[in-house]
Amino acid sequence: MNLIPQRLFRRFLLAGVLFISTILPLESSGQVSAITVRVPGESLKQITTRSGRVDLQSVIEAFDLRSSMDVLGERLDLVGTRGSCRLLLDSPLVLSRGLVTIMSGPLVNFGGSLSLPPDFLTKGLPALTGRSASLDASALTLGKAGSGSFKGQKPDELTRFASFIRRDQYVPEELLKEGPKGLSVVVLDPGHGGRSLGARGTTGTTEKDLVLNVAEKLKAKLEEGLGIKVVLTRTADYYVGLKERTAIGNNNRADLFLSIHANATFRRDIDGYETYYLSLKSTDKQASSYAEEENRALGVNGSKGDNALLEAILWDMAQTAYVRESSHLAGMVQNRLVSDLKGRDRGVRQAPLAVLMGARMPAALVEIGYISNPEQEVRLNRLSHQDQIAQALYQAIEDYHRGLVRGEIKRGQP
Amino acid sequence: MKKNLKAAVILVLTVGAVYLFIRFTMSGRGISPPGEEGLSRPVVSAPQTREMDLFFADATGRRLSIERREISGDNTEDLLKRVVEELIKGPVDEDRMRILPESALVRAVFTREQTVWVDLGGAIQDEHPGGAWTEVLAVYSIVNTLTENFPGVSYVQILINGRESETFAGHVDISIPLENRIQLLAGDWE
Repeated sequence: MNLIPQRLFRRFLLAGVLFISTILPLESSGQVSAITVRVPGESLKQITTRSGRVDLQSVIEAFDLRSSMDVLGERLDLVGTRGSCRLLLDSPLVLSRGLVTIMSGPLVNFGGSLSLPPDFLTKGLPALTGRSASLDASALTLGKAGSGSFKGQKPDELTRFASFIRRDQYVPEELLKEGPKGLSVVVLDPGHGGRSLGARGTTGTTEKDLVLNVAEKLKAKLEEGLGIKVVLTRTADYYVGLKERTAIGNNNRADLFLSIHANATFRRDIDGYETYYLSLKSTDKQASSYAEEENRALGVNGSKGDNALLEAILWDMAQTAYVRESSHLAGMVQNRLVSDLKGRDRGVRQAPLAVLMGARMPAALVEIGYISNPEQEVRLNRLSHQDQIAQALYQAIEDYHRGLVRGEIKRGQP
Repeated sequence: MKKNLKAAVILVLTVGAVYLFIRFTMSGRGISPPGEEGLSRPVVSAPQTREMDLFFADATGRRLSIERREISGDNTEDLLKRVVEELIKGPVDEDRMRILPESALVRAVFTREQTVWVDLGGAIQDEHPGGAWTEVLAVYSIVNTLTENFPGVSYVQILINGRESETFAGHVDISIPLENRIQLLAGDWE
């Protein structure tokens, strides 16, 4: 079911356009400035800030840190000369040596780069440098070697709750106001590959080949038309696991994930287009296993059962933050396929699709036609038709991009 | 004398019938309570025949659709297994669509507390046509059929070749025990 009926959504779009065009000035790309870093006995360094947020990459370079993201793109470990700390995407927590502290805002991926609130420099950095740190408007002053350490507390209900909050407002206001408005990085996921053939048509068409062709065409169109970065989860005929696909999205800091599939069923007469996004609610068991994993990530060993309510909140929020945007995306994809290609509309639905789970960005899965239907199989094999599908999908992503730029689609605001 | 004998025979038959009836209805009510041995303990119950609501797809492949069928089994677990086998046989009515491949095999069915494990052979993955929604309906034809017809069953864990699998046939998450989704009769997930 669509979260917002289409007619209502269109009205909402129209109202949004009128409102934005009259009230807001032209978009700005965010104010870029620098913090000067003074370290005793070392030359001055610079850290870049954008819209009041610290650019993580500039911190890594300034302090010669090593950084590694976990395979799912959820946790970021930073290692300096005197220690290490862990940050969680969309979370305000900093963890080090079993202790935790809360920053004024979360670690966030926006527009293809990771950013932090400035107080990371005073709260998190000492864990890495072993130096005290004080920050004023435009300068960060570090103490002598050994002058500082990580000031954290043992994880408790408060810090756990802070980690739940993160999904509610994962994009800070300042970035919404001043950050890049449209899409920066899109990940396209051609389904199956290698030993996973996917659906097979009666004359031998395989889904894995078909969707790779369409994804490659779509990638070229997006790069040329929108000038954005496009990453494919596979670029040839090989197997990629479902979790890896999402991880590629997360690790590339994508702000859109589209999985491209071809459809098939037991009856040959069935045809048309379908688009899916992840279901909002899952089972309690799923929620608790997710929460357990979360607690492991935080190093929290809470007694079981005492935080069932918080766990439920956590799960709902994790999905809510993206599901609203994903429903817009799925609706736009389906609209373009149905209207531009004059195909049968089999609807937008929610479904428990494994490849969309764990995507920390709006995500949808599109079925570009039934290869179990012999007539459609013939069409799908035509390069011209594959190009039409890629064009319709391009239009849909452009619609979404425009929706973001105009503020009709709100990021991270359930 | 003859009359007394006749009365005695009738009495014995009546008591026997009442006993069997009680056993039959009790065992038919659901899964036996779990024993400490858990999985290895077979569910002991009498042979039974019951009318079951089997969930197939409708002709459009958009939603689940119920077909009623009488099914017999030696005991509750056997009945659970036969029900899944009937799903694999497919619908009789042409207005419905099969949703599991014909060549699929039920390797085993076992129960513990409110969960049924359904262990299927690999053909259910290999021979599945491959559409995401067809896969959603396939998974929930099994889950809904078992949870609707056996009130003691709340969760269904599907195994492929004896192991937990990330997905049913490439799309739908079956890594955890699944619950009834009766809304799929209307074609909706939520």
